[in-house]
Amino acid sequence: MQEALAFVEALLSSAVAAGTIYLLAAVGESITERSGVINLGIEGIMAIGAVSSFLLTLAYGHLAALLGAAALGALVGLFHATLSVSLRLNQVVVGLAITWLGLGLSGFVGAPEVARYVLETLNPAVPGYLAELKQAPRLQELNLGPLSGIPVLGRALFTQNALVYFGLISAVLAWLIIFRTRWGLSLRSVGENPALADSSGINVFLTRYLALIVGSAFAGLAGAYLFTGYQPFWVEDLTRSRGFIALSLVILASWSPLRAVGASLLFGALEALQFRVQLRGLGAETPQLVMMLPYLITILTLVVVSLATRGRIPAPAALGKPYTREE
Amino acid sequence: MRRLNIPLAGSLSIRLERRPELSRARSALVTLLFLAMAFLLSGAIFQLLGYGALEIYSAFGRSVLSPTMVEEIFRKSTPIILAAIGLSYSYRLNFWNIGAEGQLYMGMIAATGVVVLNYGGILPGGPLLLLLAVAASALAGGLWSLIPAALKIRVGANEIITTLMLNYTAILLADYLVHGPWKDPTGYGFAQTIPFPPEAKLAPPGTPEWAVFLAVSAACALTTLLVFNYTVFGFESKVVGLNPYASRYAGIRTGSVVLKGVLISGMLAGLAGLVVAGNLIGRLRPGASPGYGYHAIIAALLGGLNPITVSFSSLLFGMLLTSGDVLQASIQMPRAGVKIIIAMIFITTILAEFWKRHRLRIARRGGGGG
Repeated sequence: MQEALAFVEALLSSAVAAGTIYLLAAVGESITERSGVINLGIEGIMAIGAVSSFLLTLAYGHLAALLGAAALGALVGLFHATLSVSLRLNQVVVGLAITWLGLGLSGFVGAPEVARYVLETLNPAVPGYLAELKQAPRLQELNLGPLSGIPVLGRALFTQNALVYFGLISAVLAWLIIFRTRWGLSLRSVGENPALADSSGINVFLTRYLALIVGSAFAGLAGAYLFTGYQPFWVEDLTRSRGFIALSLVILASWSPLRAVGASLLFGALEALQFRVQLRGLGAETPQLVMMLPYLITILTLVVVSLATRGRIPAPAALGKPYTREE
Repeated sequence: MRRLNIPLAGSLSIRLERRPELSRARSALVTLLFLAMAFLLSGAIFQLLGYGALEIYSAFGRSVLSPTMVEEIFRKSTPIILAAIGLSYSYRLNFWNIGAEGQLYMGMIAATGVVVLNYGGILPGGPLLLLLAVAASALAGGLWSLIPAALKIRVGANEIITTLMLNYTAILLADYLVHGPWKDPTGYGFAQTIPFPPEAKLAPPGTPEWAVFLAVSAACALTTLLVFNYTVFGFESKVVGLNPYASRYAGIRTGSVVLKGVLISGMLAGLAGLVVAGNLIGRLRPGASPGYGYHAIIAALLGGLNPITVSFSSLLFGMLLTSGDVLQASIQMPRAGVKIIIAMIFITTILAEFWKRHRLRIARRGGGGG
């Protein structure tokens, strides 16, 4: 009994920790997609966020790492918007290209010799060999005093690092903004019927630019959290398609940042479970079948959502369609 | 004429205009210019990250373009050619199949399955074995691609996500098999299957591999050219891709056209799997494909979904893949560097397509509007 409780406690705690990777990305992507643009680049932006947080943490500490990763994400979002909103290029293709670029850049920058060079350039005072060790200090958990002593839930809810709480708060805030403010109304109308929004005086292009920039900044932050808050050891392909899983999570949460909290907990739990099952020796020889679960469950949830809504997924009506102003 | 204004500072704005269609030669020139730009931009990135771009490209010229490497480039291009031509069937339908990598893995798994069953005495050997391997790999790749197609048609599940997820699933399945039930008992503990016997190889030892590959690629490209341009299915798939609603209205059975096209996509990727497992490696092992299926996506787009140009763009990616190995060995460049070049080609490709359809004009706002 005692052991089972401890197992559940540890599982919940790591489900919240892993879920935050998905939550940060999904909150950002919900905002982006509400404006009618799908950002398939978040996988690559997460990779860029992760590698930049790795080197920036070593160079200037955690705060700089988080801000830097978000800023780089925003920059990539701006690039995406230039191609997909202004030049009206196919959003799928632009997103995939950005993902590819992000994975390539992160892999290259993370390679020991390049990482060393970049770190030495960023801050000559820091010994460059630190980058070759591929590690950086982990983000500290906040100490919320007696609250974390609550049985079973205490560790999961009150012994996490600041970004976990940031993720939860931003999910609530994003929900409030999207559904309860004028800004949100403009954002949604741009995603539903851009021509109508345009004729009622909303700047469609600016809205989509901002939505892409904010969403990509969140993706950059998700990558930074993945490295500094979850697994502070650099390996190439650290993101392992979590960005794409976050994309499907947005559908599962039907474009609501609040429902994304629940959905990301589900995928966080799955990831935690997979890890714990392996620790207990189940499938220790061949863990591959357990590792397939998140991917299969992603497909399954897509099917369930479609069936539950009878094929009428409540996607923003103009999602994926470039907007042209007729003159 | 549709115009788009991008406001700049002050009263100036860039005006985008549709331009009349370019001649074939000029269009090819634009593609080449943008390709060159990709290499320039990646060079700038390398320079920024502490690598001499000149050093990289001269090593590239010295080693990759040497005659001895040409055969290796062609070998590595073949699975890309097959998968990329396959993807053209999907993309024509506006079905965003990102799953060639997974379908290729399923092809490798199925072909290896035939070899394993033959080893176990369940399947006969001899010339029939190759036939079985071809059928199994194409079927497995095809079935794997039918899942996302059916899910898209039946329940509207986003194919980009489902095909991607099935990629990871297939790669993990291959990983499981080579570590588990299909592990070579005489392989000194290495995670790999038994080697393919000569009868199960598309190009058995003794035949010139390049000739077989060339024949297979050419047959695939020419057949596709005929299918696209001279068959009812080719016509229907184009219409469905352009406008699914109108095509349904015109009496085309959209669902079945999509299923057929995506099935062919998967079958060709599966066949590419047989080429990889049977000839390029000779057995199944983890990480058997360095992303042939992903390179095929860009090759298909760069080649404009025309099977002939797609074949040539696949050669370019075969060359880049080969260069990854060579540059790592000769100047210790991290392999991901090649990914950067490929991403840049990806980006300049879409820009080139845009450039072919539009021209930019800087104009004073308000003046000459329509």
